Amino acid sequence: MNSKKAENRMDEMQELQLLRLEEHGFWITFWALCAAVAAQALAGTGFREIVGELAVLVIAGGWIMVLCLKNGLWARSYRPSMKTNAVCSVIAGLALGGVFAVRAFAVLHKPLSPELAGRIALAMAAACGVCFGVLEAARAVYKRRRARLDDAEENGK
Amino acid sequence: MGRNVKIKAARAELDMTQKALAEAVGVSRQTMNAIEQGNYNPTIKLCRAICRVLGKTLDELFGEEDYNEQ
Repeated sequence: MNSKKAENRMDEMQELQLLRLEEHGFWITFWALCAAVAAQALAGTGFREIVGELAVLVIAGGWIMVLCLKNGLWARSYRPSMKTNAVCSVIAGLALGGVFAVRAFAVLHKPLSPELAGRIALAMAAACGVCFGVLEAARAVYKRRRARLDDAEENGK
Repeated sequence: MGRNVKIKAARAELDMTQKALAEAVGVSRQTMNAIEQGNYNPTIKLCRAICRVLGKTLDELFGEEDYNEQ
C-alpha cells in the first residue's frame, strides 16, 4: 500500500471553494438528519429504528464540538454566556417536548392524562437540563482553552 | 473588492498571458482571473509568487491604491 499522501492538485482558491462546499454539505446533511429523526419520531417510529441516525448525529455533533473547543472557537454570532446557553437549552427542551407531545396525542392517540403530561414535562426538563449542563461545560472548557491559546500566541510559543 | 488592473498591466509589459502567469505561479487560470477581477484575495505567499514572476514589489501590485473600487 502506498503510504504517501496523495498530491493535492488544487490551488489555494479551489481549496477554499471546496472547503466551503464541504462545509455546506456537512450542515445540510446534519440538519436533514435532524429533520429525518424528528419526522420518524413524529410518525411513531420506535427508538430502535432511529438509533442509527441518532448515533450519527451524536458523533457528528460531538466531533465538531470537540474540534471547535480544541481550536478555541465558539459560535459565529453569539458570545459564550450563561444566558445564551439557557435560551438554547429551553428551545431544545421545548422542541423535544413538542415532538413527544405530537407523537403521543396526534400519532399514537393516547388520552391526555396527568401521568403522560408529567412524563412529557419531565422529558422536556431533562433535555433542557442536559443541554444546559453540556453547554455550560463546553463554555468552561472554551474559556480555559481560549486563555491558553491567547497566552501562547502572545508569548510566541 | 475592486479589480486589480496593475497585475494585468504588469503582465502586458512582459507580454505574458493570464494562462502563462497562472502556470508560472502554480495556480489555475480560474484563480488568476479571479484575482485580477477582484473576486479573490490571494494569500501573501501567492502574492509574493506573482510579484516574483512579474518583477514587481508587493506595494506595486497589491498596495491599497492599486485596487480601483468598482
